[in-house]
Amino acid sequence: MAAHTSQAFLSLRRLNGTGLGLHSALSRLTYATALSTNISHGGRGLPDRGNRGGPARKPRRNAGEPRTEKMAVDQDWTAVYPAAAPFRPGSVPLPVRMGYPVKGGVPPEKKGNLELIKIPNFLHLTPAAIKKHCEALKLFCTEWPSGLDTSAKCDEHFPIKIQSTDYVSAGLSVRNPKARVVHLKVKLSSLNLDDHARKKMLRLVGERYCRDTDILTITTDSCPLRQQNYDYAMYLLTVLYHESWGDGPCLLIPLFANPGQRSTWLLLPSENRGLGG
Amino acid sequence: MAASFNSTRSLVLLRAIAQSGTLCSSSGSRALHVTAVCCKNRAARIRVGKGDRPITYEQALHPHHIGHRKGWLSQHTSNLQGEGGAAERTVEDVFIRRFVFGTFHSCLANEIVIKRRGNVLTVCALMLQKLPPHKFYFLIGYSESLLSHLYKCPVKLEIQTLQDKVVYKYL
Repeated sequence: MAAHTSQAFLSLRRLNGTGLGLHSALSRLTYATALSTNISHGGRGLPDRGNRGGPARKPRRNAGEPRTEKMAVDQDWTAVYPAAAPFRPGSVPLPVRMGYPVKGGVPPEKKGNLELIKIPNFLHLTPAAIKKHCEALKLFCTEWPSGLDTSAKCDEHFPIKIQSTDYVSAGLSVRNPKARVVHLKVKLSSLNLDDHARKKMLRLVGERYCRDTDILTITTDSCPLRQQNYDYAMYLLTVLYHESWGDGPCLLIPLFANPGQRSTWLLLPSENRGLGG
Repeated sequence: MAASFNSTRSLVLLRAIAQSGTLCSSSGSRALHVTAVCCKNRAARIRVGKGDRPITYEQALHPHHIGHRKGWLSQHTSNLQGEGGAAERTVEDVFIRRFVFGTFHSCLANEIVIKRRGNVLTVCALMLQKLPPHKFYFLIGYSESLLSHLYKCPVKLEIQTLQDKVVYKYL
C-alpha cells in the first residue's frame, strides 16, 4: 500500500519534470525523494535500487548441489573437461585435499581451495581424451614412406639435415629472435669429394667439422628470417663444395703428412683461373 | 648492537627511551633522535591477535613459504631463463588485480590467480554470493570484453562462488 503511493508520487513528479526544461535536475530530485519515502515506508533492509519502489524483490535463491552428486561412474570425462581449464571443485568428483594442515588437522578440502586452482591440471588429458585427439588428427596424416624404414636409408637418401627451433611463450607476441637460427648438418662422406677437395674443404670450414662423427655443421643466424638463414646455409654449402673442387682462384693450403711433422706448403693450380689468377 | 635485539620488548624500551629523550630536550636544542633498526620482517604478515580474526590459507602462510607450502598466484613463461617480457606481464598482472578487485567490489573471497596459456589470459577468482547471478554475468562479460580490448588478447574470467570465505585458522 505504502509502496503504491510512493510509486504514484514518483510518476507524477516525473511528468512535471519532462514538461519543463530542467529534466535532469528534477528527475534526480524526484529519484532521491522517492528513494527516501521508500526507505521510511518499506523498511526492507537494503534499498532496492533495481525495482524502484515496485513489487517485492525476488527471494534469494539457494545455490544448488554441485554437479559431482549427479555424475555417473561411467560418464564421458572428456565432456566434463574438453579443454584446459582451472580446477572446479563442483565438477571433479574426487575428495582431493591440498595445503599445509593446521596443527592437529588435515589439509584443507577442495571447496574454495585456491592452491588447487593455482596449479596447472591435466584433467583434460586423460588417456581417453588423447585417444580422441589422435583419432581426429589421423585424417591429416599420411603414411611414412615404406622405403625409409631404417635411419641408414634416411641418411643415404637425405644426407643434409636442417635443424631449427620454434619457441612458444605466454604473451602477446609470437616473435622470438632466437627462432631464426638454422643448423645445417651434413656428413662429408656423403659429398662427392676427392682427396684434394676434402683437404681444401676441411681447411675452409675449420672448426665447423667434427672429426669423430664426420659431420660438418653450418650455423647461420645473420639474417632476420629463418627462410633467409636456410637459403644462406644452402648457398654456403654450395660455395664450399665448388670452391673445394677448385672452381675459384687457387688457394694456398698446408699439407699435413703426419701429425707433428712440419707442414709443407703446396700451391694448388685451379682448373679455371678466375680473376685472382 | 642492533642485531642483538630481537624481541618486541627491546623495541618498546628503545621507543620509550627515544620519547623520554625528546621530552628532555624540548627546551630549544635540536638533536637527531634515532632508534635501533626494527629487524623484523613484516611483509604480507597478519599479526597474531586475540584469536577471533579469521584468516584464509593465503593470508596465513607467509611469503617465505611460497614454493614450499604455497603456490604462485601468477604463472607465465617470462620468468624463465632467457625469456623476455617479464616486466610487461607483471604490470598487466597488477592492473588486472586492481581492476577485478574494484569491479567485483567486496565480492572477492580470496586472491586472484592469473594464468597465461600462449595468448590467452585466464583470470580465476573466488567470489562470495553477494550479488544476484545476472549481475555477476554482466560484470564478468564487461570485464572480459574490456580487458580483451585493453590487452589485445583473449581474456577469460573463471569465477567460482562460495557462501562465505574459507577460514584456515583464527589469529
